[in-house]
Amino acid sequence: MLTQHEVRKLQISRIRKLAVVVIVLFFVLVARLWYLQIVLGEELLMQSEANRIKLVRMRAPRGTILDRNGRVLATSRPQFVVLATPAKLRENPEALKTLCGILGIAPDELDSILARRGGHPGAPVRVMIDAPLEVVVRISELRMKLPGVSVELDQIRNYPLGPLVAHIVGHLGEISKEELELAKKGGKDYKPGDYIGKDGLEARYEDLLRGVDGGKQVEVNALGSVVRVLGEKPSVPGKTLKLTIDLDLQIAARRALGSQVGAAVAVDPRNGEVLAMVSNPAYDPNIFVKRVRASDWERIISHKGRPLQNRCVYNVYPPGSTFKPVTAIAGLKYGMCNVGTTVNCPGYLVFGRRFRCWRVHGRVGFMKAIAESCDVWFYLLGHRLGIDRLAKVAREFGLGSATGIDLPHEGRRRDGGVGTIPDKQWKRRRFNEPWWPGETLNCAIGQGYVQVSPLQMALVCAAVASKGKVYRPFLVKEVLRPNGSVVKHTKPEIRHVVNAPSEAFDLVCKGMRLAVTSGTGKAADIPGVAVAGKTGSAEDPPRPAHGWFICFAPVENPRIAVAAIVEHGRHGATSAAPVCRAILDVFFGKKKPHEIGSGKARVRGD
Amino acid sequence: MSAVQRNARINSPDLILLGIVLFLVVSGVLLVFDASYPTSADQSRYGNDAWYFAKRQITYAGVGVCLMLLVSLIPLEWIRRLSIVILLAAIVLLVYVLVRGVTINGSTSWVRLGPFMFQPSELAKLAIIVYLARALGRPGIFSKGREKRWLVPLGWSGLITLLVVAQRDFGTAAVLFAVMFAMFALAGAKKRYLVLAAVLGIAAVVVAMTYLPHCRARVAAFMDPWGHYHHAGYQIVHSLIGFGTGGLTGVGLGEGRVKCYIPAAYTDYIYATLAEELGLVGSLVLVLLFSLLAVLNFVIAQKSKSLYGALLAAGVGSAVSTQALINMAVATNSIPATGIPLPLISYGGSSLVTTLLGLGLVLSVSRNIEVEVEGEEANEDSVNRRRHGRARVPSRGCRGGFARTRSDRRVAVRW
Repeated sequence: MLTQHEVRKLQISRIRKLAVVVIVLFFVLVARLWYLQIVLGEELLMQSEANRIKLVRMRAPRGTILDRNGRVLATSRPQFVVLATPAKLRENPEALKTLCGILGIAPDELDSILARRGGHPGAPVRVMIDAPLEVVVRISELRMKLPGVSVELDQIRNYPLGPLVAHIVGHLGEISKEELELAKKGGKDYKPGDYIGKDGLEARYEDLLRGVDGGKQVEVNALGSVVRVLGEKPSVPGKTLKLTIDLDLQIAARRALGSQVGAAVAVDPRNGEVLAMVSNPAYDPNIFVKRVRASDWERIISHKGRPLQNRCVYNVYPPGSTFKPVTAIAGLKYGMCNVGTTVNCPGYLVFGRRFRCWRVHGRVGFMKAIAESCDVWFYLLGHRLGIDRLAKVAREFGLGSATGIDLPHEGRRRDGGVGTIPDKQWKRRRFNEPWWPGETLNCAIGQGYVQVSPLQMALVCAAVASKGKVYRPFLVKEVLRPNGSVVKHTKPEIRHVVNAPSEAFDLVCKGMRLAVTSGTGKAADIPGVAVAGKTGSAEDPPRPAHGWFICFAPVENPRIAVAAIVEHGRHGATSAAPVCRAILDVFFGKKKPHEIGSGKARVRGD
Repeated sequence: MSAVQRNARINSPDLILLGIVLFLVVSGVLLVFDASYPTSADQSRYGNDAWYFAKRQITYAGVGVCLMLLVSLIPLEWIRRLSIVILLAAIVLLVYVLVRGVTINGSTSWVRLGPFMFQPSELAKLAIIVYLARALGRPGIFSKGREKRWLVPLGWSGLITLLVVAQRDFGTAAVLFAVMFAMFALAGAKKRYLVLAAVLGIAAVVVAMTYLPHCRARVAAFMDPWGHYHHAGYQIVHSLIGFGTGGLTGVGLGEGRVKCYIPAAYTDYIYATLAEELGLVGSLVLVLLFSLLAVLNFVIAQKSKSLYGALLAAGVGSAVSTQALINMAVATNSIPATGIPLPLISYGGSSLVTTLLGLGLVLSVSRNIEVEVEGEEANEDSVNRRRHGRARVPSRGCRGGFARTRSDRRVAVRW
């Protein structure tokens, strides 16, 4: 029983107790605040600095690629790039529509661009490269309506000559997931969205061209914009590559090829420098740097001529009659023929079956056999030689193996070889069958199982010109620092030596000279320049034969060796020889590259 | 005579309390702007308007302050009579929100009232206070054999708490529990029951933390916020960074950065922005203001001659201070996270207006500190009366008569 007074007293005491509890709790909070803000303050501040100070990567400018005379084949130039963060953009359909309108692309195309990359989810994606100024201005104006969209100035690869050197220089592209993993394993600093060389020299010399990215430590304000730069680690620009390619020869070869499908390679027989390397049709590498439009890709992939393929290095063809100098040298080396060896050519040779010659030559001596390309003469020589001795000499010319050129993926085959030089062992291994003597006859004139790449053929020609020295062909003459000082100079390197007496080479050279002056290769006869050459027509039934031509000049002191092939060009003399001639014309200053005409359609973009 | 009496009875409201409240509301509006502009300027759903939240908060504050002043002017008796209506309204809305609530930011605790979104759990606080003040504000409710007198109010307020728990709004439930505890204690509940209630409350918290998966995640984040940075620990980490960055004097008003990282920077974690920008000095001033507010409420409760008024003031005082304590404790990672706004400061209309209404009640109590609301009338010669040397005066005309008869009836009760 409580009196009211007692009730009141109880009330007051309980209110006081409640108040005390509350005050004590507030004091606990004060202690906690003290601990957080004063005692831990510094430690937590460090974490805040980590938020406030950002590392900005500065892309190193990629190295330039020049031709042997310093003309630019590939460079990086600043371009506006439109970036978008897919997650931010997607939650805002209005912004998506606005962006489509500004960029002038269909919404589903934009969608596929945004979906393309597997970087980490918050990473921005390049939506448009080389954005025109009005796009940049429009995006800046509508910044508020375009969350997650930004415009940046970036160094973007540019190939000013487009298709002309596409197969040599290759192209860049955004790094793929697999390449990124590979690079990470190799300890290289690549990030999603980085560019990497995908083909050609860009891929082969990726490490040299790329340089080392720099970094900038910047302080950012609450909205993420840079307040000041705290520290900077400069980027190391990529190295410049100076090529052995002579742009004039390149232009000449391409113009001469015109719309024909084919390839032409010119090398310096004295050291293996590749002076020109043209594969037709070509593609524009610039489309790979910008995002590849579905329509562009479709056009490249569905093109019958397979424009992505560098035919000079990666395609193999039967060499046809251009192989005959090799057979002749083998015959001279093993004493199976000499300058007086003469046979009668009735237009065919019966050896089990009829082996045809391309015409009736009558009496054929050594010189005439080469100049007029008499098959019967070489059938008989091949028969005398036997396939193994012929194959041995052909391999000494470097045929059947990779040339060692500084382009990626040469000799992708398991044994590392390129093309085929058959022998008995090879046939047994490949088909588990014995060698038939008739097959030797075919091989002697570069048919049958024999397959070579145009580059190998150019080297064979160079080897004949240089009396048996097969150099490693190379494209990069010098590696330079951006300031022009030389880092590395490529030294010529002999890969194979043909063991044959020098008289043998002299005889073959004479024969080849005769071919140009009075034989099958008159199309390559240039007044004032002693050109030696050999035509070829490689059967490829049921379609027309491939036209081949190899030549070197001048005979006394060869400075250039050229091989050209026109696929299904029927006769080398009419299809491939004019291409070689065009190259020689320009090389010896008889014509300017733009004077080279093509009987066929003009080169696209030229 | 009557004029003198009126002067004696009706004081001016407690001006210090009013001053603190107005100061807090104004600072709240400023802080809401400060903490919300990076978000609202950045996001098009807020119209890229840096003032988006500030404008709304100013409106709520205007409405709330007007209502507070209005409530402080009306007689307490009116509130007393309305309390059952308020209770029923709160229950209806709480049930409604469970059935057809609107989900915002993942929690379904909103109902649409015309153009406004409203959080019934905020009203629940007010409803429990006014209802319990009425139900417990009668003498002798804790007498032996009359357990029904306090079990019924306990039942109703318990029901409201359970409805709030059903929304998984454990923070508000904790506030309601604290309010109930304080008001029952003040009304004179037996000590053993209070101890039992405290033990049960703590047990409930422990059980929830152990068995409810979403509570367990929050406890884990509380123990190691950096270890749970990408989930539950994210806001905590950035809040702590804010406190640490603030140091003693802060980085300066508007200069803070944690608001750019914390999504709830202008609601539940507004304290972090204050602490970052004004440092320990600022955060302590706020603690000081809230403790002062609590103390003033309790002083008014203590001074109030009517048990009803005392209960109101103590109820509002405990609600506001518990809420402030929980919010600040969450922001400083002193307890596991629970979403509760900082009263008078955080962005949010429901919270601001109901808190101001509650404080309006306290102001009203402070005005009527000398007045005994009729329902609790004791007999004429109570010790209380004599001690203050004043006669009991009926508040208005004939009502006194009614009151007297009622209280006479009550005197018959043995207590």
